[in-house]
Amino acid sequence: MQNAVDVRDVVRRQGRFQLGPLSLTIPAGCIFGLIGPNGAGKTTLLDLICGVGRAQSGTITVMGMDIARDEVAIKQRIAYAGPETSYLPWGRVGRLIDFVSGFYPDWDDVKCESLLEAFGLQRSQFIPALSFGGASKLGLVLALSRDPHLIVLDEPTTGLDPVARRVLYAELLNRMQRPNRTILIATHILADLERFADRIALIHQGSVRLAGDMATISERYVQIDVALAAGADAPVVPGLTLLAHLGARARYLGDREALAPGWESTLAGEIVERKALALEELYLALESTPPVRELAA
Amino acid sequence: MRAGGAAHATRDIAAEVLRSWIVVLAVPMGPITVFEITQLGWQACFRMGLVIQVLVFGSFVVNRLPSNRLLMTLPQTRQQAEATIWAIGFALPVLFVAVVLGSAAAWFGWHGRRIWPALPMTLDAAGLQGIFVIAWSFWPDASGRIGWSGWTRRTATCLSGALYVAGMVLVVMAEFLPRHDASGALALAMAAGLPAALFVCVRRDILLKRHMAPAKGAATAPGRARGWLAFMPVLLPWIFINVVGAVLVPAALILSKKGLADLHPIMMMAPFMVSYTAPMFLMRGLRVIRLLPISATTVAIVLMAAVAIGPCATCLYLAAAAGGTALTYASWIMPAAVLSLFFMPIALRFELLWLIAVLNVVLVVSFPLGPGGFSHGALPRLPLAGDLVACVAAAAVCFYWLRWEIAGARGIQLRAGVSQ
Repeated sequence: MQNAVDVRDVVRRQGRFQLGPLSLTIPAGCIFGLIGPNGAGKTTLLDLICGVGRAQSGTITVMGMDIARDEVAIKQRIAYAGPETSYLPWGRVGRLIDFVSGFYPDWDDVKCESLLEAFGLQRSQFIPALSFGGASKLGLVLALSRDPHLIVLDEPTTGLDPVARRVLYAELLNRMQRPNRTILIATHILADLERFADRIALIHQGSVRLAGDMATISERYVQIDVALAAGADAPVVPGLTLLAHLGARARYLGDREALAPGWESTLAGEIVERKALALEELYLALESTPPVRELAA
Repeated sequence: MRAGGAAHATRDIAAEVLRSWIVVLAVPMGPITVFEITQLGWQACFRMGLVIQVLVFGSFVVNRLPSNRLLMTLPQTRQQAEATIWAIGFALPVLFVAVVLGSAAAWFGWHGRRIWPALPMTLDAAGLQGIFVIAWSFWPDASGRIGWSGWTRRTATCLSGALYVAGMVLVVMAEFLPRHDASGALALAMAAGLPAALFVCVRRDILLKRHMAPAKGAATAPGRARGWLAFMPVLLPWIFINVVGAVLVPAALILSKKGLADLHPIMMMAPFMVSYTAPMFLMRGLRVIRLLPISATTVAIVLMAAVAIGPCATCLYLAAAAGGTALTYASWIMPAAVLSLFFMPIALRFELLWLIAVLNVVLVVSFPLGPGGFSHGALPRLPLAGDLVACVAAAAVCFYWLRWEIAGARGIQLRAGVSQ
């Protein structure tokens, strides 16, 4: 099956920040989560995929088309919503919808009205008077009133109340019933991704630090608590990353792919607990370097 | 509150003001130089330069106004915050205009010219400055909140309106009515027409409502054709206003037998001011537009069209005013288009403005390089070949530069869209 997005050796510099060299594949038909700290380059990557901005080097193909060559065709098949977009110049919700809808042959007025109702928006509303969450909802209405092959959402739940979040994810899951529909979400709400995403990628300082399907990643990493021998330092073991060390206890992040057979015997202590990590815990473990030397009492 | 907090805030605010002033001084040098070297005379240069300065300054000031919300959250009282906003957005520009015009009035007096015309100009400029600032204060900041509120806005509105009206009335009384010619009535019409035009711009839906919205299910080519139509509600009001202006202003000039140098800057700048909002509108929503299924080339063309409306109308004014050939004055289109870009720094980064400034300087330098130069008359009379070369070159540079920007090679970062 054709990939929804193929990013190959892309580099994009913005001042002191550099995204890449970065390669990433997003298969068609999945919900793909993009996570990473603020400033890691998630929005930049999404912009490049959507054709807002060009990479200095590398190639991006979306649904088999080159973003540089088939920009218009790609944009017709993509929907984007993100907090960076300002709708203020259009004044009213209805006027913005009228403007945007004219560009898309697959615009669905009925769907648009139902989304407006679901999100509690009205066409006559004054955009500057919308709350922050209201503006986010408006962006989602614009993105979801069509039937795009790729939906790109940059922090879509920011400012949304729990009901609106439920509406959004219900709508997204409904979209996934159609063949070859792909959703790319960048978010910091990792619990949402854990429930809905098929695959994730962790972006760190402009590079992909981790990518794969949720099950594999969940299987790969484990949290290990070790009771150390009296007076012993936390041992250094390939495949184990020290997360915290307090007195005679040490906590590690274990990477099963990197651990050698029989690694337990090299520990100067006893393993007291192995625990599978939730996505948020894994994220914190991967991003919290250097390790916390003192655990809270 | 940490003592350093207030000092830091003061330093930041001072830096903002300083940056604005640097731009005020640097950016208008191009147009002022044009007027100097085209021998339009100091007065015209002064008037044009002044208005440009005021507008550019106003733009930069109001560009800072979105940080109102930030100012309000600083550890200071609401009164202090409002006083700061007032100082940056209104008092300083008015003071600036007053000082500059006071100096100019003294200069005129020294050279035996009429001193007092500087007064209505001062009032107009100050009033306009205030109106611009106030108008923008009604625009919400990036988080969607309205800028000023309460007594600050009401007072500023009244004061600016009073200054503007007083200046305009004085101009009309002093420069037109005593001569008992038809231009007085036209000037009055312009005085009344400008606020009306601005109103129309703000409420363009009154004119167009949804009539221009693309018809659903129309048998048009998907995407682009409908997309072009969708831009028309944005562009049409400005075309309309400028066409009206292109009739009124030359008529006033011809009937009053006045020269370009006698043209009141408000009239001269009216199309610029009105047109300013068209590209501004587009640039503020540029991220939305860039996401639409249209190419960067299309966006660049639309933007260029929006930018060019005002200058094209201005060319007509100038042509009518000086009675020259249309082609001669067509040579003003691109430089004027570039000049008008001065008026859209609202949504753009400083780098963009500096690039425009450089382009402007290039254009200014290119003028005297044309064969024949500008030897006589109120306007430069460049041979066509030189004009056309300069125009085409400028157009090409502008277009490809815009396209480059919009395509994102450099990446325009909008006020509400700076991200990583």
